[in-house]
Parts: sequence; structure tokens; C-alpha cells
Amino acid sequence: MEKLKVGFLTFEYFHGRRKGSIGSTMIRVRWLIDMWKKAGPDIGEAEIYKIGEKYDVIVYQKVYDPPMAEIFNGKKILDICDPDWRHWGHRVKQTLDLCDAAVGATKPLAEYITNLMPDKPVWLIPDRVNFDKFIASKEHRGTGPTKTAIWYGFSDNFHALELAVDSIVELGLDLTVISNKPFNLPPSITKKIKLINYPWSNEHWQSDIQSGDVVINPKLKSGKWKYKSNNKTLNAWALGMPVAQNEAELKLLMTEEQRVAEVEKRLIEVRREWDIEKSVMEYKKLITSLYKTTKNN
Amino acid sequence: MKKLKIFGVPWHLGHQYELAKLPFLEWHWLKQYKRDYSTKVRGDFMVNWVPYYEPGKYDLAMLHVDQQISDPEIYRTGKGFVYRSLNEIIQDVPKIVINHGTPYWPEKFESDYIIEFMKRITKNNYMVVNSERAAEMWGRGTPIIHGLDPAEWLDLPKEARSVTMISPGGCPKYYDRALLAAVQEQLADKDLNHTHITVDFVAKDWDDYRQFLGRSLVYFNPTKESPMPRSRTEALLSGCCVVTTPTHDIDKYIKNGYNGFLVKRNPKAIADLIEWLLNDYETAIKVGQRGREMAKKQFHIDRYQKDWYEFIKASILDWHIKKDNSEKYNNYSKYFEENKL
Repeated sequence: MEKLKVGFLTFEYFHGRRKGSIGSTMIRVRWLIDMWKKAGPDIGEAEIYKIGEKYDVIVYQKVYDPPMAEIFNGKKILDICDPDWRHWGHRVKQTLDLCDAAVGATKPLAEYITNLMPDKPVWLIPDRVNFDKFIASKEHRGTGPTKTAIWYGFSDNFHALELAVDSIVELGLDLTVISNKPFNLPPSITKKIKLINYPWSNEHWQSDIQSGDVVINPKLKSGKWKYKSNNKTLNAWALGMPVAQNEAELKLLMTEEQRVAEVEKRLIEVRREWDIEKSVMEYKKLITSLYKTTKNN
Repeated sequence: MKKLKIFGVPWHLGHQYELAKLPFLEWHWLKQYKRDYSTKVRGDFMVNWVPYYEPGKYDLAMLHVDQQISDPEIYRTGKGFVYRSLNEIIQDVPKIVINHGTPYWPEKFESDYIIEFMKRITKNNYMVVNSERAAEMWGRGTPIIHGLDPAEWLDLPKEARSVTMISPGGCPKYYDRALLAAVQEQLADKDLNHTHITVDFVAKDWDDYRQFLGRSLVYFNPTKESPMPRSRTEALLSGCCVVTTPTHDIDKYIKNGYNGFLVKRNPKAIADLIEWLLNDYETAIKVGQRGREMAKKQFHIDRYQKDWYEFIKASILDWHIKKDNSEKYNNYSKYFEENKL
């Protein structure tokens, strides 16, 4: 097979956002591209798509652009990390119909996409971690009992955090929130715990997360939540931070020893199971397969 | 006639409509999501759509700019982004840049900054501007005055109304919307309703616009630094009696009181003139007809196509001389010898 040129048309580029401002583009594209040459077979090069540039393959990362997809004769893959079909404004089905394959970031996403395009390949390529992009993991030894819980993410998801606040109060923890908007405690709790808000920063989000002792990542079951990936947990683990999804788990992470043990276990797991190199290899395998067949494999 | 292959992108569809008719060019437009194409402006004018630029396939490229792309945000992600990306990618053919505006955007930047910015981003590209005044202001650029097909503009029986067609928003001083508003107010005091096309009247499509314009007796152009507004020429070709501020070379074509009216920026005087013209239907019709005859000669598509032919020929030959590519230079020289317009 001749060497291919793969262009990732990212959400960030398409919508004119600043470089590094979109988490999904960072995780699902930038981290992959940086590892493209190193991992898997050499099928050619990959880069962020540029308007006017010629590509053999275009990966639409959360981008729905049917007019261009209609006249682009190369291979097209739609990469979906959110259930965008839930919003009327996205032309998901229309784009899928013009694509040769799709990728879902989670199993429920991939399953749903398969319903929309049953006759073409739909692959599950989860969010993973590019360890080259991470600072050294946090050292918990000598830091004593758990004092501060960290929550990070988009402010759209504050309602999940709100459900965890009572547990934080009960356990006598401080709360640090790292987000695009400040989080406010309910008035009844304001004086009971210390709250620090850090604005999300592409430069220091990792050290901000490490400023606490444990990351809380409460999840909901309704609406879009069932489609969400575990990338917040993975990133926290890669930073050497233990993660609690609920009060029971948080209670098991209240001592230094518990945190050290959890972090050691998760670091091994994340390095073994969730290395971005796997995603690169899967993407290359998918692309290569498209040049052999367009049937569902 | 063998056609040259030219790569382009949708930008200013009104302007590009006539460019698409150049008989010696085969257009290939990039399909992209930043600058949209719509059939509403001029219907469907046939171009070939391509998904990317392919080096070695084209004879030349045409890109577009205006003063607004000197705004860092617009240059980063707005319409300047298209120019920036394509200017970087296209390296193997001469690039012609149409500079649609003038370095006048006082709400945002000093003119000196805009001029310097434009110099920096267009460098050695071949630049076309829309008026001689625009070339003076930019300090560079070859003026090619627009040219339209008179048969496409409708000189219909006139309603006794006055109209203006300028964009509804952006660059208020450049278009001098304050003057337009003041004239509208003065006319309102006289119980006359001056129509701002695109605001008070929104055409369903090009036909609807041409019908409305073609049935309007008086056309008022308030612009300050818009280089040779196309809508004023459309009004002239539609037989409207044109009242205009005397900017950007129009005083070379309109003889005050004979084939149009040149006015100072005095809202009351302008409103009085418009009222007088609406009352003196016969005079307005006569002046409008003389304006139409003038426009048919001066702003004809045949002249426009010849200007473009000469400019493209000169640009392509100059580019290959500078590239020291004698074989291509000779081939193109031969092409232009054999394919004269």
C-alpha cells in the first residue's frame, strides 16, 4: 500500500477555537498525531487538517461537514466522542452516510453509531493517555491524611459535582474546582468547607489537579452521561491521583497509605491498558482495512 | 478558446459572478466551511468544486482580502483564515489577490496599521483593487473597475421611490450609514420613506432584487471609502437616477445634474434633492437614462474582461520570468498569442 496522508479535521480547527482549548481534540487527535510515527506500522503521515491541503484520508473529529465530504473522494472517518445526535443542529447521520467508517470513543457511542450506519465499519477506539504529555506523577508519601478533593471538568457538568458536595462536607474535606467557570457552593454549605476555584488552563491544569489529594468524579446516569468516556479518571491516574466516583470509594481513600496503594495500582493499569499507542495502532488498522474492504468487519 | 485553469474560493459572490464569466478561465473552487456559497446572490454560476488544492494542476490562483482581515481574530479564524491557509499552501502558481476594500476602518485601526498588515500578508502576490482611489490609499494594486452585463439589469417602469443598497452591518463609517440614517430621517420629516435594501426590503433572490431596483426611480449612494460600489453601477444600469457622494473616481463618470448627481455629505441638501427628484419624475427619468447610457459604455463587462485578460497575462508572464522558468514563460506567451480576447 502506498503511504497515506491523513488529515484530522478537528472540532478545535473547524470552530476556530484556540489551540489546546478543546479537550476532545487534545485527547483524540493531538495526542495521537504526536505518537503517529512511533506507534504501529508506517502507513504514512498524519496531521491536523488544513483548508486546501490534499489528503488521502480525512478524519472528522466531532465535525459535521457534509458539503465538503460529498466531493472529497478519499477515505472519510467520523470520530464521535459525544452523543451529538441529541442536538438537532448536528448533521450526524448525513455525515455518517458520506463516510467510509466511524469511530466511537465509548462502547455506547459505538453501539448507537452502528444503528445509524449498520453497513459500514464502526470501531470503538477509547480515549487513552499520551504519557509524553504528562508531568511526573504526584508523590503522596509524607503528605498525610486526605485533606483536599479535586473536581475538574466543564462547568456544564457542575450538577454532577453538586451531588458530591454533601459527602465532602461529611468527610471534612476542602474542595478545589478546576473549570472554565467558578463553582459556587449552596448557601447552606458555604461556611462548612473551604472552596478554591482555579480557572482551567492548558498550561497548568495538571499541576492544579495535583494540588489536591484525591480526584472526585461523580457520574450521573441520565441523558448524555451513559455515553461519556472515562478520560477524566485516566488523566487523573496518569497524574498519580486516586479517583473516587462516589462516597463509598472516597471513604476508602482517606489515608495516605490508601492513596499510595491506589495510585501504584492505577499507574500500572493506566500504563498497561490505556497507552495512546494502542489508539494509534487501532486507527492505523482501521484506515488500512478501508483500503481492503468497506464491508463491516 | 483554450482555458486556463484557475483555483479560487467563494468570497464576494456579486463580484465573482462576473469573474466566473471570463471566457479564458476554467474555475475550480475550493469547497470549505469558512466562506459559504449561496445561489441567492446571483443564482448558480457554474464552477467546478474541488476538495483541496492540488499542486501542478492549475495555471494560477485567485484569493481575496479586505481591510477587515487586519483584525487579528478575523485573520486567525474568520475570513482571513481562508486567505492565510491557502496563501501558505499555494506556492507553484502566480497568486492574484483581489483586495475588495480600502485601508479605512477607523472604528478599529489606524490606516497605517492596515496598510502595513496588508503588505506583510500579500507580499509579492499580484494585487487588484476596485478603484484608482483604492490603489492610492493602499499604495499598491492595479485598479480594475467592475464591469457588468447591461442585459442583466432591468430598466423597468419606475415607482416614485428612493432606495439605497448597502450591506446591513459592519464598517459603518466606510459605508457612512450615519449619513444614510440622517437622510432617511430628513426624508421621513417630509413623509417620504427611503428604502434601505437589505434592511427595509430583503430580496428573496437576485431576480427579486433586480425587479425592485429596476422599478426604483432614485438611488442614493452614501458610501465614504467603499471602492466603486457595485450596487451604484447596478442602479445606473437599471435606469435609476443616481445621487451619490463623489468618492472613489465616480466624478470621472458622472457629470453632476446630467447623468446623475454628486452631493456633499449634507443630509438636508441630499433629502431636498431626493424629494425634488421624486416630485419631478420626468427629470429623474431623463437623468437615469443618461446614467444608464454612460454605465453601458464605462462599466460594461466587455471592458472588464479585457482588463482582466491583460492583468492575468501580465501576472503569469511576470511570475515565470521571476521564477526564471523560460519554458513555461514561452508556453504562456504562445498561449496568449494564440488566445487573444
